[in-house]
Amino acid sequence: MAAIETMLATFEHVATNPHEQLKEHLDAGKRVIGVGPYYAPEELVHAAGAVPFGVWGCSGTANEARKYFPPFYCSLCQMTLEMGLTGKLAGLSGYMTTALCDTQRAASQNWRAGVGNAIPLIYVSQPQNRATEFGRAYAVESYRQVAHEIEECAHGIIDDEGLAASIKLYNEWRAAMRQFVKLAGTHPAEVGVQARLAVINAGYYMEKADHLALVNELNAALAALPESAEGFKRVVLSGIFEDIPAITGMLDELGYAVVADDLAKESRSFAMVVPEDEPPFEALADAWCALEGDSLLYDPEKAHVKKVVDLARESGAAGVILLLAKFCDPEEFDAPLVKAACREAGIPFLQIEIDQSTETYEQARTQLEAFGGLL
Amino acid sequence: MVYYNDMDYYLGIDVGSTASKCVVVDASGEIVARGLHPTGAGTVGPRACVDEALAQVPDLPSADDVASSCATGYGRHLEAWTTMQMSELSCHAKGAAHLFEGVRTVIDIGGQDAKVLSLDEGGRLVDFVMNDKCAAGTGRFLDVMAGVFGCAVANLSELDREATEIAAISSTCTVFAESEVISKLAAGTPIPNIVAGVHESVVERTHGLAKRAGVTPNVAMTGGVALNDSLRERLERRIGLPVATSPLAQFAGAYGAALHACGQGGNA
Repeated sequence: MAAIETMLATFEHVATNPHEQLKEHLDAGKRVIGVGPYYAPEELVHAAGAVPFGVWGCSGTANEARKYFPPFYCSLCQMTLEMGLTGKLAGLSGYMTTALCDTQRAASQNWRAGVGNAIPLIYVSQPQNRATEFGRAYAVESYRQVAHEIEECAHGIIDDEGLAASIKLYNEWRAAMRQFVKLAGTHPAEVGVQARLAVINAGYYMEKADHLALVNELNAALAALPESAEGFKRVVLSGIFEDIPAITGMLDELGYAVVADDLAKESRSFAMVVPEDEPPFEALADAWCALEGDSLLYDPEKAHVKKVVDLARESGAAGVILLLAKFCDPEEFDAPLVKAACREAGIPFLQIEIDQSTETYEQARTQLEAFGGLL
Repeated sequence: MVYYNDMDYYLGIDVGSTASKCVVVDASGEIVARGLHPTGAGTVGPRACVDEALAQVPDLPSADDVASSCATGYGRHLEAWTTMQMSELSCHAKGAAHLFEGVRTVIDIGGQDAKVLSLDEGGRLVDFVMNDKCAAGTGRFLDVMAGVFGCAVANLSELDREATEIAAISSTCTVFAESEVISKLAAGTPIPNIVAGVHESVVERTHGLAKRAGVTPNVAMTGGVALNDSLRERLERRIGLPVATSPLAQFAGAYGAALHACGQGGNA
């Protein structure tokens, strides 16, 4: 247990001190490229010899970014641009982002206008038509173009051999993270909600190989312990992200355990498996095209809705909590469907609206307390 | 004055954002005293409403003499002297289940938030929806509007009855709605017609919230706004179902807290 606590303390330190981590990378002479949401082909950055560094906004108030956005705009986009405009990301050699929603697309162009050449934007255009040959071809070509831009920023060359090695590492890392999510769900006494989040967030700032080694060590230690979920309120978290300290603090305080998640920043991003037996650019494209069950993806059958219900059933969750990111259109479109599906399946459902610029969540406390009673 | 001897008493306190309510029950769950003070969390209100209730029960010289106590409401965590603290959702559900026989849907509009609770046949809370951070459609919204009209919030119901037509308020935001109301006043629109529009605005928001939760009869309304008969009747027409209320509607949360303190009536 002491070893687990020591490991968790390391993750916690990294997760809460990203700037220290960035400085370490820079001091070591590495080039660092910011990687934003969603499903960005991070392997390309790694293969170019640079360090991918997660940029998913931060808690705070957007002041400078408000000059570029209307008030009713996704806080994740606003706070990411705020970080870029206020020098919080100084040292990055580039910032890579995709554009799976209209909000993100406009935000990327605002980055170009506001941050400009100080941190060049690497725009990843992914096709939403994923089940077609032309969609796949588009993805392959798009990733090749992105690779050139990354090479410019990283001052490195991406060759097939290096990219294949990066894909292998990332597949191992994502598998380890999937295993960690399961183990954290069965061992909430050892890994609380905030600690679980710290392990995940540290992966956004550390070198992937270093994070993988530490996660593997943690997984082995947890697997050796008996399960500890008895007495916890077991829930699935759905949404884009959960990094609101007030919310995760309440979840811990009120005895919740996250037994599985459908969060874009967490399990959705670990879900991808890139084929290792085909040319690497085609493999990355195939992995993208194989994705499903996500509010951010073109999903005419709404597989995402069924996925949340299945996740709750398979993980033995007593309820689903949707942390609805304010002004997130894709999530807001799916929210009533997810709620109805949960209700039909007899799964208690709670929706809490969150954003990175809200400071107080006392109404959420009331709702979480009452929801715990329903479970 | 009511005298009780050799009995255990249980105290519930609901510290809301705009008012504090206290209820004392006996071991059978009957209400023996209550107190209300029109100020909420962080003020003298909680102490004042407890003192008012205790003054009605000579057996209880102080709150320390109750067998158990429970605090609920927005400011519940400030009442560390109580035996327990519970969310107002659980407490309103329990209080309403005891105030209204067979209630399945509780619409509570308090000073700062609005919520719709779904209860099962046994009176247990099974689902709920709550408005978010916005004050639109809450008691605070009516307070602000009453301030613009220069009347007491208690008079809004009577003013509504004098309306000849509804002067629609299209803004849902309290601040924008206030500007809209001022514009209508400046244009010479009769106050009762604007009050009717303000009430309709609250009803529309509440109806939307109720639709999210699902409405199953019997429906009851709690919270301070439930005392506004005109608004409640408009809500009845919008929902298409009778909406019961009670003179104790504002005490539902405190009553539920007191019942929780004495372990009465299931686990609503």
